Amino acid sequence: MTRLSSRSLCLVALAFLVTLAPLPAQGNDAADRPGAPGRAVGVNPASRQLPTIEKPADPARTRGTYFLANESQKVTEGEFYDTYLILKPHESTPQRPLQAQQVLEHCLLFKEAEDMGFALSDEEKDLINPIKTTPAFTDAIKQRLQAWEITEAQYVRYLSEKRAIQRLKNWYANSVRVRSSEVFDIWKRDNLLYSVSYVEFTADALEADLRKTPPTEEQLREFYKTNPQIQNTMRVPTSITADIVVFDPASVPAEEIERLRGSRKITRKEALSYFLSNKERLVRQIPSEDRPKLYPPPGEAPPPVEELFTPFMLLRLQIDREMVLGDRIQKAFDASESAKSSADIKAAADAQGLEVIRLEKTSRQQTLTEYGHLGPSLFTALFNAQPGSLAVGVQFNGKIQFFWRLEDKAVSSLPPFEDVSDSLADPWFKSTAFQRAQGAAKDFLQKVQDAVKTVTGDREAEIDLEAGKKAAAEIERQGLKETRRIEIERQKWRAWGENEKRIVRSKRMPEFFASVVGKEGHKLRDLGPFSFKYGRIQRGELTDQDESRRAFLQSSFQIKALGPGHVSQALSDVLTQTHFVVKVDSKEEPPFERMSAIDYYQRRMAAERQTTFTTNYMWTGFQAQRRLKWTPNK
Amino acid sequence: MTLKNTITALLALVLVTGTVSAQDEEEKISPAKLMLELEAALPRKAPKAGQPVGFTHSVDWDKAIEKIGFVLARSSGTKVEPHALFLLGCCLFNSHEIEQAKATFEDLKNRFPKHSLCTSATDQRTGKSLVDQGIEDCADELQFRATNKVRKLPRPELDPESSTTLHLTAGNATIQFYKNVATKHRENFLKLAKEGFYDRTRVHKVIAGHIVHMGDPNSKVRNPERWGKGSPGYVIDNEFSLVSHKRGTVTMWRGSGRPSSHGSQFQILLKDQPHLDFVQTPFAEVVDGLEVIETLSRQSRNQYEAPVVDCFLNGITVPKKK
Repeated sequence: MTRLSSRSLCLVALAFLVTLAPLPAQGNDAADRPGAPGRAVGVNPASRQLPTIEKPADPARTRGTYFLANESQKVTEGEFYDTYLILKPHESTPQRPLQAQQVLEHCLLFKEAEDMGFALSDEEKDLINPIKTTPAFTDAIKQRLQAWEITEAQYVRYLSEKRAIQRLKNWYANSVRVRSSEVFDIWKRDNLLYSVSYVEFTADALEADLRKTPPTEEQLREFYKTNPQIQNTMRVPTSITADIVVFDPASVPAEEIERLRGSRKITRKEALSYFLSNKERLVRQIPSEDRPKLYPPPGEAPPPVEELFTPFMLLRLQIDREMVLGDRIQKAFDASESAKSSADIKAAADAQGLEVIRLEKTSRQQTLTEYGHLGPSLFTALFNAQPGSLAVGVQFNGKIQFFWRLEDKAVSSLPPFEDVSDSLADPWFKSTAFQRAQGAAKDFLQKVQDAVKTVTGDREAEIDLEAGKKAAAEIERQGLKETRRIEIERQKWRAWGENEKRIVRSKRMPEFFASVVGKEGHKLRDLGPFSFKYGRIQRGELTDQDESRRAFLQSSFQIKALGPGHVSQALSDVLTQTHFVVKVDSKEEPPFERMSAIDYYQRRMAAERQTTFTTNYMWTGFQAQRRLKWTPNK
Repeated sequence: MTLKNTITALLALVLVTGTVSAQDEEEKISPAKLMLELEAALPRKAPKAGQPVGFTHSVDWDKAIEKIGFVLARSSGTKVEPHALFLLGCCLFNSHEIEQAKATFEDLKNRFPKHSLCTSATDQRTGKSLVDQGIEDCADELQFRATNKVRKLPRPELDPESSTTLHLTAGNATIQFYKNVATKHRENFLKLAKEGFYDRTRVHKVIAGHIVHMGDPNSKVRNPERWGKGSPGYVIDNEFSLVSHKRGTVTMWRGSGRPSSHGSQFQILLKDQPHLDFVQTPFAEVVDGLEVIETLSRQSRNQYEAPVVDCFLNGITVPKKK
């Protein structure tokens, strides 16, 4: 197994080597190539701007210091330059020359790996050195090294240091662990248990009352004029009147084809030429059952040439058929170019025995549903064309050939009130009931707030005063003179005051919520304990209205954001035509037992993703310098 | 369980004596080779940019423990030993053997107190040494588990008797279902296959080297705008498991924003895609003919992401009941 892994490693290393290296015969520099005598030596003009790494005058000079195992250590200029030399052939390109930062990262990471005992022993180096493990490639590798101007020792040092650094990274990747307590913490954030009491205001009850008195014409007019939803419902869509001449060659009986063909013989050359000029369209029409013939089963011996099929062979009969029949629709199209009316088109089609489809004031939706087999692009073209225009040429969708002429187009419009007034009463009842239910919910909330104000009024007045004082102090501190800026500052503190008042009110709200419910005769309902279920319920599929209402509350972000004891604003649910005012009775951490095994693994994966990200971050950018407290020598 | 017992016995021997005395001379192996062997046994490799992360649930920890334990048993007194102990501790923790993991980390700390794993190599989040962090994690985990029962999911096993062949116009592919996970998905798939529901449906979406998507009844009719939108008229509850989405996995499509699995549309994956774990339900694996699927995925596509040359799922041969 060890031999196997080291062998495969050598092959990978060799492949890497071969990929990166320019061939020795090509020369290493651009100037070596014939016809480029004056070119700069292997350097991209843009890269000349970047700082280059020079051979140090004093190799013993300290380049910088770092801390490892609480001991200060140093990197010398000579050491740094040696590292640069071993990295350069592998990691530097004319477009992206190796930078001092990369060399330093390598130096420090290797020091870290060495400290952890990952540096390779001589025996390990032999095991990963392809020159020793793969004698067949020895000469080729040596040639490369010569071209790179590095020695075998430098090459082996590069391989072994890279390997040690990779070990360091792998060890950290394997030390990623996630504790169950972390998993639980993540899970419970989304699964807090809510218990709520609420009052609901449904439109249904109000609608029954409303229906006793029909709406006046003014009410309906106003409703039609101002309600965009009802306008959308009543809007007449764009419609077209057009003729489509269609020809399906497959519908012509074989005898008819033979009759038309007469004594004409279609040669292979003619057929092939037709195939090549219509290749893309025809290839799509190869029947599914014939298609495997084009792809001999993989893994088996290839069949003899005479048993092989080409698309042309599979389509030959169809090509013949199209060639015999093909000019029919073209003739009809040519005759239609001068058409002035629908009758002219029909006459041209009849003359060739072709079918005409008449679209009479048809909407886009209808055309797509009824004539989908002609392809969606046809209708895009038709609905964008001007009345009186003819298709650019004969078109194809699969085997079907066709062309069209647009006679008339009526653009989308809103019908006058008189035309639709009869159908407005029902939506009016529904919409008005919904609005009134919302009004009732807001009234209820206002009553609770008014009741709260009786005890919080004094404190609220104090807050208003405090906000004014704070604004004045801040204006003075900043020395503001400009009216606009003064007003902005006051606005800021007024908002602070409103927020403070809201907090004061919300603390007292629960006390008065129940009393107003009782006083107003509303029914107080309970729900919970439940956990937030947004996205986990398909409400459209629920038939029971009560269940749907509960599902709305269980997936409401507004309720999720409330604290225990808080009362919500009026929450509106369009699906059940209901409004709610909700008080959160309690919001508690769920017990661990509620977490299923699936939830456990799911959240563990999320936590692991986060931890892995943190671990991988260690290897990015300047992290090694930060970690080892690198200090450059000035 | 036998494997675990073996490892436990082996570990106990290493912990108590600090050496494995009964080694024959022939069995001795150089530390260099042992280190390479240990590297090869690593259950996870540091991911490079764009590579998926190997999540804990997708690793076969028993196998990893076996391999590392094998290295550990022969590494006594070498520089490989502390590394093998550390990795063994990490693997034991992830395979829920917390007490053993703690004992391993503690043993490492007692016997190699000056090793960099116990000193300078630190955890990025806490700044503690990797071994100290390991011990702390184990202690916290044991304390947590003393009051809370962590439930484990079973390891998935393929059922060799469930071989089912998908007859595609591009060639045949054989899949096998899991014995112990996603059983409702399996039943549903086989029911639909027996009813002929899938016959003559098209492969309606391909992404080269990534996925092949099929199973939509709408795709029987040539109207590409409606492909991918059909269903058998119902959905199935997700059946998540420890199966990770890897190359060859057959997974029931879910679609964005849907809470449940789709009733019939499924995907065959051609690349590891762990981001789908616990999102879609994998219910089978391709055991033969994956090259057919691979070739299919690389066909040229039209604007609907379907192959330009139609590929039909002509039929499905389901396993016969014994």
